[in-house]
Amino acid sequence: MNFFKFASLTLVRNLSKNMVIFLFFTLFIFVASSFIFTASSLQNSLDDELKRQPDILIQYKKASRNHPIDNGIMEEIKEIPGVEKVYERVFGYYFFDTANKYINVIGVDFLDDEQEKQIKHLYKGFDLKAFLQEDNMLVSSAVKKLLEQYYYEKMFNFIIEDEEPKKVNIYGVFDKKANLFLNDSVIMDTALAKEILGYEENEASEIAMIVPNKLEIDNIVQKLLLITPSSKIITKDNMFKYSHELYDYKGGVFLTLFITAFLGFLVIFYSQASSISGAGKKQIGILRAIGWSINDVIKWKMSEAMIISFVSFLSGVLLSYLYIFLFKNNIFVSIFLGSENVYKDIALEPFFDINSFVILFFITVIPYLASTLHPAWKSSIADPTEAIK
Amino acid sequence: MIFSKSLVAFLFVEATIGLLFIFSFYFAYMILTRWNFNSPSKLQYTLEKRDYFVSLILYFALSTKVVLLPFFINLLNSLSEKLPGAMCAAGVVSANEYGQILLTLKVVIIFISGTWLILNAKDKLEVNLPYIKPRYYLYLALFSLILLELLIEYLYFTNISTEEVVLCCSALYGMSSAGLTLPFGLDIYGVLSLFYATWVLLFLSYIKKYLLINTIANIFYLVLSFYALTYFFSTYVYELPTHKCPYCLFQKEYYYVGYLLWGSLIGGSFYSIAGFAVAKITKFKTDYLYRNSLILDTIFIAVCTLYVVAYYLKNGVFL
Amino acid sequence: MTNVIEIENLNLTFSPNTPQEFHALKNISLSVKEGEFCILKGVSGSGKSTLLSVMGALLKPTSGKLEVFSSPVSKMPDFHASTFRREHLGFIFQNFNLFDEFTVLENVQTALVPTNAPVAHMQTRALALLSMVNLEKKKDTTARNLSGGEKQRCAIARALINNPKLILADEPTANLDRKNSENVIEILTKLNSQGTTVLVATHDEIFEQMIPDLKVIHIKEGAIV
Repeated sequence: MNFFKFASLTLVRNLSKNMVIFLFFTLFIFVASSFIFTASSLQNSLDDELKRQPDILIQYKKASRNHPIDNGIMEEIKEIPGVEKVYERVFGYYFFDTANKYINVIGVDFLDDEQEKQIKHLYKGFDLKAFLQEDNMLVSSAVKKLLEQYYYEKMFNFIIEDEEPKKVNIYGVFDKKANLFLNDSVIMDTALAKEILGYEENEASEIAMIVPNKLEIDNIVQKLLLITPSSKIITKDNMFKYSHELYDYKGGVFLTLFITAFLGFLVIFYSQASSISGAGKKQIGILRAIGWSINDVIKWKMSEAMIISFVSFLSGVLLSYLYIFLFKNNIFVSIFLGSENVYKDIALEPFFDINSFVILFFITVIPYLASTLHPAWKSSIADPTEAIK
Repeated sequence: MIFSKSLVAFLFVEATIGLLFIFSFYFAYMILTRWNFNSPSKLQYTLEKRDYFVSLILYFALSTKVVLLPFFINLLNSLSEKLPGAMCAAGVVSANEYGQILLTLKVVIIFISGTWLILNAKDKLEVNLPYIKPRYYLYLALFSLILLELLIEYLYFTNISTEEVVLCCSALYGMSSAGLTLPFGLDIYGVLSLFYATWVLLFLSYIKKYLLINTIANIFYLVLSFYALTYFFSTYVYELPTHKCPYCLFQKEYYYVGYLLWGSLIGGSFYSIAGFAVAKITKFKTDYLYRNSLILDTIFIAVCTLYVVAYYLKNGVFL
Repeated sequence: MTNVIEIENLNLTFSPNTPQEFHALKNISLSVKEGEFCILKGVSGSGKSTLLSVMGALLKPTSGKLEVFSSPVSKMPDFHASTFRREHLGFIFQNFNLFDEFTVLENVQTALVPTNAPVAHMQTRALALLSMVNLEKKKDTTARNLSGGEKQRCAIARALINNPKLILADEPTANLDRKNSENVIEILTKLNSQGTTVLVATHDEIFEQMIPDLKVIHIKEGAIV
């Protein structure tokens, strides 16, 4: 029998006393770890999505709001050496008046290999010819549900200023995996999207380009600035940095709040552990009388604390893994993704970010152990003659 | 000011350790000033018990610090993403004048607290705790260093600007660097021969039990290793003659080999220095500490050499 | 024969120089020889338990000389005092002091936890002692469910786990009926006949009735009479 075995025996035999600490600790870990799982899974999916994005984007801003950009400059950009491909992107919110919701309309050039590739994995058995013959669109499961509420089963009428309502058929619902980014979206041909969003032929939301040699990107940005000095140029690196900073910031704020709450738990725990009961004193007196040293008692008490914290930590993490990745629409996703535009139908991709769990371990288990040092020492020096009285 | 999750966690744990030290300082102060082993007074018995608390805190602090050091390196590497110009921890460390001091301080603190714990274990083996005074003077030094470390950590992290461009490792250590030159006016082959020669000296002085020579050689070895690793061996790890950096070794692309290399090197020096200090203060033999030192130093030199040999076998040429 | 315990002019004062000052032990001198069966006799509150605690290095005296197996135990720092206790002494208590939630076997092994002894060794040693005190069949019973006599026998097995040369017992029969008391005393005399020195603090007449060559030390109000 070593100290760990002995400690596990004393813990199990006094289960009711230790249960409260164990439950609280597990709950704390559960909440924090759910947050981490949600955040790192979202971030990971976002990174994956960003990888598929073009290397450089150009946007035209007025008073820091997006304005349509003239797609005429594409000809000029094509001439820049190193740019493999240039294309326009069209997207924007359509206000669905009756429901008081926004629908994100995305235009895709289905005849373009690059863009078609991106769409193909969203919809199984996609028949391009049939799709382009009429005004068709692909919708997300959430949008489908929204439209059905207003009895648009097969089609939807987009209201366009000064024109007849535009009737667009619902061709199908795309894969739920894309819901994280396209939850409130519908996808249709670029020309159709332009018509609905009120864009002119020569206007686009942004201009995208693909640059195979990443080392060329800085040079190309310089040349783009000469062509369109007033535009905003976003590189893929910018996008990554921005998204990481946002998540790190949100994570940092959460962590600070979490630490504060956890400190509260530690204070309560500390004051509870510091007061040694008569029975506890007696127990230590017995051990001291049969030859345990002060250090031995400390080792036993610390082993107890380690077992409690490790077991709580692991169960908290395990429970939250099950909750986050097995249950759809958990509350943490709503906390992260913010306000409800349309009903959210999102399942997170399982992802385990070791670094985040090292952090969680550091801010929970280590302070917990630190808070047990003094109580452990205090009980170890309890008067050993207690056993004889 | 720079901000990230890892940084919040890191500072929190560091502050926890600092708090524990402040908590234990009163006890340590009482032991230093009021200790009288032969007195049968209640105070003396209380002080003996308090000694256990201080030991406990130090034990906890050292274990945490040892775990925290790789986390800190990893933190620096991850911060490089936020600093314009930085490719690895090298740029982050050199972002202001406190980075290098902080790293050194961290290693010194681990050395001192490790020595303290070995001394403590020896002290407890004696029936009259004869080394309590040296132990608590050492504690005072450690206490001041821990507070200093917290202060420097604060200064370091609040003075990192996310706007200013920092240097990347190739600018700091590469061909173009004018700042660092090799020691003793040697060229890289001179440093390498000295490096291998010092290892032979370490080995011989261990066999012959010339312990003072072994410790001095170890400090020498630590310095030489820094240059040999940065300017020669690291290029074989990166398989690129122009890439010279002591920090990129910690990255995933190189299988985190930096942790093994730097860990064994610092551990080797620690055991030798601790062995010398403990032998000086106590009457105990510290051969086993020197043995650990030699094992770790040998792991370091072996892994370094293996990289060169493996490269040669694979490519048939040297870099 | 050598002295196992040697005490000269031993004093113990609680809260000295305060209004609550209390002289628990006054100028005590005594010696116990190797192989003796010795009882410390006195009414409760006379200081027998306190004296026993001092001998077991659980309590430090204020002044005087105390040597157990020629070691100055009262001057030892905790680590040495504890090791000494573990290796040389066996404690038996009035109210058994078992861990109620532990089984008999676990209770007996408790004293071995700090030694890092191999599990197999602990097991065989504990089982041998349990068979000696006739508790082998109850080894997996929780201590709470034992009778008084069984509890005390389990406690004796625990005290013997490190093969001590000196047994210190504090009123070991006070909570037992006549038959169980006899049982305990039989075990103690058996150990004594094998060379273990036994010192019992008690006010029970039964020891004098059962043991022929018994050394009796009378203690009254903290002093030897």
